[in-house]
Amino acid sequence: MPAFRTEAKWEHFWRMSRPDEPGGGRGVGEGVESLADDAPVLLGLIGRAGELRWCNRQWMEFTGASLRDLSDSGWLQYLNEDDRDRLLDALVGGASFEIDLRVLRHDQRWRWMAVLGAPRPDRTFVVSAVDVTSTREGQRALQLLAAVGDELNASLESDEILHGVAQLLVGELTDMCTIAIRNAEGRLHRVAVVHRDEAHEEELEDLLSGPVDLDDGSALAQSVRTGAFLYRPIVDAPGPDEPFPMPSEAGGLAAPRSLICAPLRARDDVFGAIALVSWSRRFTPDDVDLVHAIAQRCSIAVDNAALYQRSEEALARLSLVASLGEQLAQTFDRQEMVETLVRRVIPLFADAATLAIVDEEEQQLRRLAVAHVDPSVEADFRATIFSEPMQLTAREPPARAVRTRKPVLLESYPARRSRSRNRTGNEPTAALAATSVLAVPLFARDRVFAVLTFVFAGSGRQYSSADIPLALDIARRGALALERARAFDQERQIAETLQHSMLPDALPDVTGITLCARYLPGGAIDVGGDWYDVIPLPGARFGLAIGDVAGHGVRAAAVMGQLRHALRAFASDGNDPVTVLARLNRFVFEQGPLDMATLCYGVLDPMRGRIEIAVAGHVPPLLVQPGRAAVFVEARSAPPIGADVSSRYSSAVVDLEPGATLVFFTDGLVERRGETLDAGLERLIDATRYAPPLLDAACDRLLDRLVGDKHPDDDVALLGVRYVGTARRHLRMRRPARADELAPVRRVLAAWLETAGVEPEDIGSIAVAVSEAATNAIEHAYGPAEGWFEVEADVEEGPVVTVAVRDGGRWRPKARGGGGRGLTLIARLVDDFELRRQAGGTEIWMRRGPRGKNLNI
Amino acid sequence: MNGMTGLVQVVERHDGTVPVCELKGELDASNVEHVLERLTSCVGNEAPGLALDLAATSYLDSAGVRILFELARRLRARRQELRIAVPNSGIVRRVLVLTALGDIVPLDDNVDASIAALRARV
Repeated sequence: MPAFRTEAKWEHFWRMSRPDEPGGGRGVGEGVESLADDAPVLLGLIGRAGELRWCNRQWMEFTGASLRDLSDSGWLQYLNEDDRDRLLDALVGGASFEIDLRVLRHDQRWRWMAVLGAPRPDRTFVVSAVDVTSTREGQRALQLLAAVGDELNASLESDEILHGVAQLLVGELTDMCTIAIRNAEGRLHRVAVVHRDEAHEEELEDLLSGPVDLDDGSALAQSVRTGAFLYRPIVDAPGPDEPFPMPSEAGGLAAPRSLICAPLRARDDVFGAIALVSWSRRFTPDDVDLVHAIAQRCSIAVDNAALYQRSEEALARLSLVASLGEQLAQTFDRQEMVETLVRRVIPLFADAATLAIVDEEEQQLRRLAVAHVDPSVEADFRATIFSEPMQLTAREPPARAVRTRKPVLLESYPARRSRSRNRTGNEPTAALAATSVLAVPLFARDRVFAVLTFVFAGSGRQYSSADIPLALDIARRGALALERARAFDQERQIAETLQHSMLPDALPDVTGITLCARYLPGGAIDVGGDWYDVIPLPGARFGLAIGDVAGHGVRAAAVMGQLRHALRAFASDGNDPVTVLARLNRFVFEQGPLDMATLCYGVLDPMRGRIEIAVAGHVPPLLVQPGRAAVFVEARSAPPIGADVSSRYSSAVVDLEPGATLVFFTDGLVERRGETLDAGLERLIDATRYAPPLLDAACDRLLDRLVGDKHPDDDVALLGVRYVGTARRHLRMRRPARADELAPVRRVLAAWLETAGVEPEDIGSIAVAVSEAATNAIEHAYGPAEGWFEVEADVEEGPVVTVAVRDGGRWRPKARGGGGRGLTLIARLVDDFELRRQAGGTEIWMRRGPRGKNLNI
Repeated sequence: MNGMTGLVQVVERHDGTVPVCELKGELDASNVEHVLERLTSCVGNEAPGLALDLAATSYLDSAGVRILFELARRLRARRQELRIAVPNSGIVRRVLVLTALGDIVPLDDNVDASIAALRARV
């Protein structure tokens, strides 16, 4: 143990110096004293109560005090208060000790001493002390520097870095630390203010907001202004050294304090300073060295961070231009485009931006979009100035950009040579709180048609001529996109007008069938080309057509019109579908090279419930029959019209059951990007399940499920044809007495009632009542052998509906107790109701007028 | 699984502890037995009951009403509650009211209300 060795060493020393008094007890002998005076350590003899009995010359020289000053308890005054008790405790303890403590040297600097104490038999202590300050401080400085290094590496945000450093210094070196740096405009701002006592943090927070006046006489400002390193061991005069609205209990500004202020510099430019203030200890020259080293490291780190930020910003600007083009390409809507344009440049390239278009007739600029980083400024601007046109003769940058056809740059706004006599609160650029402005013209076919104005406001940034290329690039991309939107708008409008003018206004009223058509114009680019038609033919038959011209836009719509008229001409002669398609194909080739078109054409005979269908490159219609799986009509495919002059067509004949529905459609209904056509057709079949009984509602449901709310990419045309299967005023169906016949009967009945002009509300009630009666027939009338049931319905003026549901069995109450409820329900859903038992079977007769009873429920 | 005719579809989900069944399409004598078994099997022993959503039911008559009574009876025997969500207007609501099912089973305007009520039971 070192302590033991030390003790042994001292015992040996004493024995040598006092051979006659081996234990030693009084002073130190003469010869030994001179020896001790020359020893390169502080030596002393101290009693248990802490009184100094003797010390060597080294001790006196070190402290700059006489033996008289030091003797008894005088020497304790030279010990640092915080360390004193530790030493006294060790003396009272009586054992040998080894303590590091601070001693005030003659030059008023605290020095760290390694103090060894060895007890003598008379319980006095021989004490030695060696100055270890340089070792110790060096270590501490190294540790602190390492910690600062870690802090500097922890982030690339200079404010964050500096705050971390300030906190570190307050923990280790000082009571308070302030760091300030210049911003882009050269103004000095505090970025970190840290105080040892967290209670003061809040009042110090305020210091962070405002700029520092470079002439305020503070050490911080002085250091930044002159680049000087300031070291004031003791300041006890009041003064604004930095920054200190000092807490009053510490004595306010007048409290004695110690100060270091180091400039932060990068590449010969002083960009900030670190100020350290301590009330509790005096800074030493070693501290000065340390702060110097730390300031240097901070300078490099902050400079690196700034460089990094600039390169990041350059990258971000590049990607802004790239992504802007992409975003603008995603829409054809002009308003959406200009909004995107002004929003996207914020905050990277501007704090605010406006876009205005040139009204050549009025010689004005009209704003289309504005964006501002501060939503309240934006809102104010919108509410006041936004809709006021700007005269092209105005002195404002946007108007000048239009007149000169060149970018207009105002690095600092309002310009220094302020034209204040004209300045009012209404000036648009001023209303955006602008501090710097850059306006660039947008060209289309060599005319300036709009102007984009970038504004810095609040962030303190300034435009320079270096920003003009990027501004022009943004303007060029915006101009291209807007020009594209304008052309598209024009074409789309024409195409839509053409399209609508060529679709039938109303579908013909056909006895025995229900018709329903839907047309949705395609989204962005794809308007035009789809059509459907219903053509009255000789012999009370009807031609049903649906087609899709290849291509889009005005041309496709025009071709569609030609084809539609040609088809009508060929069809109205009463030709069969194969002949009509063949003639149309020939016609297209006779016209010269025309666009191709897919087409499905069918001839329906409502009297016989039969349809003949031929297709040319088109998906055949879907046949949906009550109670059966939906299937596509099996018509053999042939090339589209206009594809091959020698195309041969063939047809399929389908016999329709009452209630059967054919769904003709164009591929926009079923096609989705990244999906096979088969998957789309599957989805269509799926969507016809659980369809509402009424055709109109069923068509809506189909569109809802397959297209939904989104704008379809392509045109969607849909033609639904339901075969009701009977003359208008009378319906009669006889079906097997099976439960799975109920739904088909309801479908047919509903479709028939619909064509007869009965309101949906009444149809619902009648369908339930009839289905109840039919259920009764199925469940009660027959034994194990299968029978039948019959529904006969009539519509009279009103419309008043009467229905009779008959069976061929005898009425037998069924075991399960549901029958009574069924009859009750019928009674409540119709106006009149009668149960008639007859020899041949049972009949339930009912009648309901419009808005039958119980509607109040 | 749905009825053999593709007439009705039972869509089952859980909202927390509450089982929710949506009945899409038409419910009549051809498929009620199947639907009754299906609905009963949706309700576990720990569930507070069943929220039955008839918003997408386009047809329902006394055959459907009969199984709803039966379902309510089965659940009640297990101390569970049946709640039916059905739009305030339309033929389905009318049928439920006319057959007095509404006197036995609480009718809600929408399924969220049913779920909330069942959750409050827990």
